[in-house]
Amino acid sequence: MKKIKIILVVLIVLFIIIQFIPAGIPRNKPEDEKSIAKSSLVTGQVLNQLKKSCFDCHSDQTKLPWYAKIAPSSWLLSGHINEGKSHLNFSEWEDYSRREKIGLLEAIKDEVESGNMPLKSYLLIHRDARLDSEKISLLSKWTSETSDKILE
Amino acid sequence: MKISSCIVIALIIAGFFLIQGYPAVKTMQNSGSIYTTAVKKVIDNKCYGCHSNNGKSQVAKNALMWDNLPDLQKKELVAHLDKIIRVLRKNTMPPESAVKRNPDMKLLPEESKLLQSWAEAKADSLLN
Repeated sequence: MKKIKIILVVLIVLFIIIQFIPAGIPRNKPEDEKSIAKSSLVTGQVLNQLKKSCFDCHSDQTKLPWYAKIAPSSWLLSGHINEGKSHLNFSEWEDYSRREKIGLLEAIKDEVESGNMPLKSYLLIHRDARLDSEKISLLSKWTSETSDKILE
Repeated sequence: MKISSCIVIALIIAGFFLIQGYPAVKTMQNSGSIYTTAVKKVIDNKCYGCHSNNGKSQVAKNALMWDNLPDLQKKELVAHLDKIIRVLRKNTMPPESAVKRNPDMKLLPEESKLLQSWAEAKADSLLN
């Protein structure tokens, strides 16, 4: 019984200590003209779906849940968000070259169709981010039409 | 020796000679239209083993098949070229494990640069 108490105390102290380690979650920035949301490339239903399913890790408009403030879940979130943005940041869309945009659109299509994205762990909590086959084909169609527009 | 074993041995020997006429395909078959000779040589030596029908890894084949690039639609080709550039910049191909098994597969910095400039130029020409 004494042992269990010691372990519990140690765990609680550890938990408190790790709260002081910065998680490094990037800050949100106001949307400007560089964002895909401000362009004519995406509107309505598709934009809504991108916001629900992708923007938390692939834009500067992350909606952080309450557990983002608590370590160690904050570290996990920070890792996902930073990695997500390094691959694709919809808020900096206009900074990509035409080649990169087409490459990214094709990658979005692959990731969504293969079910790699959104991440399973994200979908566990964000139910409205889930993509059924109808939403997947909506996004696929959008990527391919948008690539065509960029190629014109 | 029995006749049957003689026949078996004869067949094995004949088979051995026959397969000499069918070497494993080790270089790109469908390369004329988009690759330069220098680029093709690097791809053949460093990439083609996995990113072709010879490859054993389905992941590698799904990601890129050099023989298929010339037949892709314009936007798909641009996207593939972009992916090639991204991967080369990250310096993750050929995978370390493959290089460990076969040190000749290591992609030299100048070879990586050659492939990158080729892919950039090709993509630019498609976009203009």
